[in-house]
Amino acid sequence: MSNTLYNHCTKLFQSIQRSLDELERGVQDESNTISLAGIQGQISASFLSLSRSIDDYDSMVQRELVPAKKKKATIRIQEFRQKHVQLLEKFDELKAHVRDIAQAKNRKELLGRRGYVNSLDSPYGNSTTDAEIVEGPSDLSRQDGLLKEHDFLGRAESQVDEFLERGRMILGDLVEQGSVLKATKTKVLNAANTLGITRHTLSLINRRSKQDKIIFYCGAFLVFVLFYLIYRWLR
Amino acid sequence: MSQEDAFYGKGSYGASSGNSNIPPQGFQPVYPVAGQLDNTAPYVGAVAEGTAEGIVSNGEYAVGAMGAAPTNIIGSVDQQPPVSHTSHKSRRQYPAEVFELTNTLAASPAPPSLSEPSYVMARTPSSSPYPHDRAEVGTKSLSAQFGGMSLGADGAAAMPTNELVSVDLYNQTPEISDLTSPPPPINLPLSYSATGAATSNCPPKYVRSTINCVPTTNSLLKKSKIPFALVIRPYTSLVEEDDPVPVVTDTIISRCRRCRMYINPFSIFIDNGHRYRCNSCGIVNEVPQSYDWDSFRNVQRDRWQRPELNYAVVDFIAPQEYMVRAPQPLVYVFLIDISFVSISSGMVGTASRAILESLDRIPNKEGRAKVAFIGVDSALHFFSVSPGAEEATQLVVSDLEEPFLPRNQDLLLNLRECRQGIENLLERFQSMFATTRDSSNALGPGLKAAHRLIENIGGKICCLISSLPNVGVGKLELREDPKLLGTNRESSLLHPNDSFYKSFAVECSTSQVSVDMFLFSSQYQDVATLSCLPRYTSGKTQFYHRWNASRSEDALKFASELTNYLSMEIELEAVMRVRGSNGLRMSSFYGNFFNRSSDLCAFPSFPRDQSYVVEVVIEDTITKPFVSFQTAMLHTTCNGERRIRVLTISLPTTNSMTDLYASADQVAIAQYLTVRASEKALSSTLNEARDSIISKLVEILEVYKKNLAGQNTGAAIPLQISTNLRLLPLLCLALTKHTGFRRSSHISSDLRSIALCYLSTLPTPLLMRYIYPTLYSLHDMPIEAGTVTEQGVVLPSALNLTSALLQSFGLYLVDTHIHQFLYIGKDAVPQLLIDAFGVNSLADLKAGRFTMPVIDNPLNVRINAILGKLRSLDKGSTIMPSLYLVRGDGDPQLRSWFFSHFVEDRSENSPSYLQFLQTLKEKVRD
Repeated sequence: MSNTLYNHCTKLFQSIQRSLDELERGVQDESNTISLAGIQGQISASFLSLSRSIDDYDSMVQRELVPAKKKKATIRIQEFRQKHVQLLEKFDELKAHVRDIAQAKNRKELLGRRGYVNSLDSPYGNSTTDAEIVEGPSDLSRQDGLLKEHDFLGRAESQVDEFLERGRMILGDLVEQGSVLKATKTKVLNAANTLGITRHTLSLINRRSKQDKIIFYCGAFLVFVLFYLIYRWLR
Repeated sequence: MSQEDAFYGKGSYGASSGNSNIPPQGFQPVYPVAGQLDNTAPYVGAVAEGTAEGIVSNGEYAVGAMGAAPTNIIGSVDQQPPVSHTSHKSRRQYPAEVFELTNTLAASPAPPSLSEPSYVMARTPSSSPYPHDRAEVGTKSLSAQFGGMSLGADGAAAMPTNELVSVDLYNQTPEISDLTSPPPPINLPLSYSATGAATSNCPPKYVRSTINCVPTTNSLLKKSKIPFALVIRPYTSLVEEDDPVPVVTDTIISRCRRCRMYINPFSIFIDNGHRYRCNSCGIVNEVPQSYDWDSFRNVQRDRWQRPELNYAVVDFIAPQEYMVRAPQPLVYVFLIDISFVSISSGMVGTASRAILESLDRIPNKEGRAKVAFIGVDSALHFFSVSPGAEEATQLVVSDLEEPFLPRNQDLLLNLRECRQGIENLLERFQSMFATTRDSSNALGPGLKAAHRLIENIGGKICCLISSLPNVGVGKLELREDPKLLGTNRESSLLHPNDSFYKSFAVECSTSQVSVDMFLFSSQYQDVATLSCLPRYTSGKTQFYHRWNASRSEDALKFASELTNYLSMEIELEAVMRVRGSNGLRMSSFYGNFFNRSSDLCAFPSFPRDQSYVVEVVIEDTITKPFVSFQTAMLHTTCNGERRIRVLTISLPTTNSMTDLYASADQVAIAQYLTVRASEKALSSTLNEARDSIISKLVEILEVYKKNLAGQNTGAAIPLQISTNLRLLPLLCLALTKHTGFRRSSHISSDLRSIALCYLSTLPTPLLMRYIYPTLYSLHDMPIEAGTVTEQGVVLPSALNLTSALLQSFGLYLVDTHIHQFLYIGKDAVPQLLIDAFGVNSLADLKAGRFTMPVIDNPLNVRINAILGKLRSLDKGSTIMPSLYLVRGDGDPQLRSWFFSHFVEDRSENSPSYLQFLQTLKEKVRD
């Protein structure tokens, strides 16, 4: 397993070296620039795998029991890390070259009136409403004074905001009390009104029932009279 | 006579001392040790007398029936016949009750046999001579009798409950350390479980309930307005060895014959252990005959050591009945976009190299893993490698209407047999297409071809796409319209634009094919439509916004996540079912899967970095003191083993709303609100999603105010909630301000879509960080922060997300689990810049995507240690966060993005935390 990891790291180093050479040739040859990003991505991925493999190798060496093997492997790990740093530096140089070439090309395109592409990956990349004016460094005493006034006004503003907030809360409470009192008054008036209506209704009911009694008795008398006449007439 | 009086007096004392510990329903009580000792002493004294009658009584008591010994003892004292008659009658009724209700006591009255000593020794590890064993058994029976006799007298004894403490939300700063605190404890005595093991109930990292105390009626649950849901995370690590669970290897699986729930720590054993009562539906089941026999070593085994009776989370190795076909091998089909945009952005090169370096990390112990590669542009490019061959053959299919497989075999490559050919293919994959000018992307036909390739086996289709599909079936138009952002019609941009992706997802789910999307965009990508496939096939959507491989940070992030993705030990052809006790029904399921029937969730492949939410409905009144939920997931491991993972959680019941609110879990409630709002955003509108969050919070506060808060003593009514829910308003506010739900006209629909995908799949600890990011102060962190102790790297304390805490000379870190931001104030002193970044002035720091330099300085070392710790806080995540540097005097767009994470501040369309509380107060008052 140790030898496997060692061979894997060695292969990775060779692969990275090959890719770096390819990137260097690509930088020289400006006609094939579309694949430079891919080569850079390949190198980055290889560096990631190399870091992981070196870490795996290191953790395995920590568990090595034979001192001679452990010492030899430790030397190998140090060599690997040193080589890793060297290759990273070379990669950074080549990336700088690629960036310079891209900037030169972009400058040509810009002078050629090409479209501008915003490359920021923020979700608020189109936002301008939250932008703040960038302030330059202040060295003059006049600017110091203005800065102090700015700070003072900021503090005053925050205090005023606090007062407004408290006032708003108090106003809310007062409005709430007012509405509660109004509701209470309305309820009391409704109760009184209901009582009045009740008395009026009861009077109407009494009067109506009295009339109904009179009508009933008159009707009954009339019916009995008619019954008597029918009896006498048809007998 | 005095000896006998002392004996009865001691017995009474033992019974009374046991009162406080007896649960109301008479499950096995836990006696205090003092009580047991008191019970033992007089009996030993009787034995010590040495009389012939005493010895005979001892023998009869130990071996005889339950009621015989007391009769003899009473007869020997010549008491009044009516009294002895009454005692005898009452004692005779007790044994049946003991049999029915307890586990361990069911075995006690059995006559001595070969199994008896081993059983007793298992319960009491210390070995002892045989007569002492008998005495111990007798003592237990006697104690149980006294305990049982006192049941009627003390039926109102209650279990311990969580205490309800009210807090006024206005008068305190949110205590954000609660986000990482444990949920309210589940107050279920371990005596309810068969073995009393501390691991009998499910730990919160696997299953988490919104309420840890279940109401007995649906009306009480509705009245409380708290949602009842379970947050289930069957796996907490990408690799099994990082978080192993016990495995039951003998394939003896016992399930209830009515409700099909697996035997678990809360099953109730009766009839001398030959049968058990299901803790879900209460029916009596037979224990398998070979349950106590270890067929591997051919010896009798101790039942109570079986993992499924001691652990709430176990893996069963499934017998033959659980397989419908041979176990499926691990299959990956890489669908790689090779159009001009992909080549020029470097995606093809980076992906092929990352896959090449990850071939050793793909789980392949049995040598059965298979891979396939399909290049997609205006045609389909297949690659064929014969076993043992060193070169791959490219086959181009340009017919997109009816894509066919150009060869019947050798397109699906065995990873071990075709290793050399695969390596050579991946080495030259980039240069093969380096000169392409083709801008087409035939993703739909490519998906169809990949599905045809593996539809008989099943597996994973991994799509790496850099441009909008524009050819063939499933092509998409550019429908992003900046004028729609921030309006009511923005929701239409979040809905799928093509029905192919939904219907194809159903086909894939049927044939055990899962689709994962890796989307790289330089422009509009239509994440809303493309994420349909992962959503219904239990896959995952990854989105790399404005990705380019020339930025090392972009390339490293993608390579790291792809490597983690390939080395994850996924489960294949899985189905998951959640069962509950009688009266409980699972009503809604949230997450990335396909709902095959009403309660069965189908996973063509089961990723280990997602979680799922299941909503529960109480259908009938619950009469038992606790309820159980069991999540069972039948799957095939990537090593070809058929297994069942079973997670069992039991919760106590209550009929008190106070207990209900005191046991509510604010983090689980927030997760439930998140996944429900995500689904609402995708099915209707963003406004409805936001309103559903706020309205549920208002309902909870209303119920709390009406039923649980103290009486109103003045005009100013405080806004109160219990202590365990005090961060719920803050989490709801942070959720409404999240990229996925924020009311804004600047967030593109792709970023909103991917945010909604994360919100509906992230596990709980990561989701909390995603909703409410963690803010650390690095310039004045304590001296031990960033240093390594035995618990790992020490993190500084988290701060509240309000910019009032930011100093203009400070250095701060915000971690959202997807992104990390380093903010350096514009007045930072040069010494801080030198110590942290190795630069002399602020102008030397380039804002934006950032790689933390490694220099030999204590502050830099500590910051790097903190960043590394935050990246590996959770072993169950494949995501590597992107690091951004924000300068106090820098890019306004970057600053705007950074300050949008400060949810306690007021922003353009959202209130601050205090304003939000004011709004809640006004709504609650209505």
